[in-house]
Amino acid sequence: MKKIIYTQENGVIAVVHPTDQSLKELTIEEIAQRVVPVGISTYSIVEHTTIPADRSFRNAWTGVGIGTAGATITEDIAKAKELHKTKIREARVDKFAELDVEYQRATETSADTSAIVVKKQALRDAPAASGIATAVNTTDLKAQWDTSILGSNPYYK
Amino acid sequence: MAQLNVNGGINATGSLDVTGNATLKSDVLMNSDFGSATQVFGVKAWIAFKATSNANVTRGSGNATMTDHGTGDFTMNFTTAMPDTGYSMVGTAGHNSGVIVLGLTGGGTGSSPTTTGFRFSVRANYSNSTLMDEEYINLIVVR
Repeated sequence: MKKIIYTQENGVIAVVHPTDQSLKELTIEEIAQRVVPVGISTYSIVEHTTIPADRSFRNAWTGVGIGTAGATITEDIAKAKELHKTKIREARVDKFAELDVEYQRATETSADTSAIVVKKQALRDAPAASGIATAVNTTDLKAQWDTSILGSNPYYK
Repeated sequence: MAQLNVNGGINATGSLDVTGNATLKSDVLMNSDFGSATQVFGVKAWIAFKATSNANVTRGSGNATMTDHGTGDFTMNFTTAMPDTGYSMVGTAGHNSGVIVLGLTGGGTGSSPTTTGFRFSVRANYSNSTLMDEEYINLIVVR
């Protein structure tokens, strides 16, 4: 199955998926001429196997050799790190809320809050974990998920 | 193959059975519990795909394709342009907790439907309404 890929203004690769029926009515080249946006002059027609199967870092997909038959898609590790940090920040929203309740209850009973404070600080520090900065690929990044404070790893659901 | 060309009209008080294809080159009116013969409008385009499996299975009408812009951010393209933008689109997304937000880009910037397609987002209906890929995304366009 053929796909059309081109680089968007934000640098992320776009993938056009024709329907089976559309390919009976038009050639892939004709479809490309109709759906690639005005202003995008370069695109490639590739086999579906060129498209990464793992969409965990979809917004980090970058085209290499767009405009040629041998175009490929890679993951921009710098963008992937930012996406990973965003995912951590999203995951910790609910965790912070839970700890806030725990902290409030502990305060009301004059109980020790030090353990709760440590957990909250760990959540604040999570996006700055050193392992994220040193990750060389997205496999490394996926491993940078502290389930003890963030819950289940979203990459391995 | 036998062919029947009618330039005027056929008034059939009974049943009209057509075993081959029927090509109707003007409006279609019917009374199917509408109360009177009323013009009916068909689905001009449809598409069904799985965003979680990289949309390798993309089914739909012959005039439709889908562009994947990023996580939860797609365009339904019409390879044959609509006569105008006065069409109506309906979609569903699931089976997790996604909702389709039509006419918005992934960044939340307004994106008006055009005669050649419309951009739409799939967002979580919980947490921060983050963009998300869903197992099943289905859209139809009526005009």
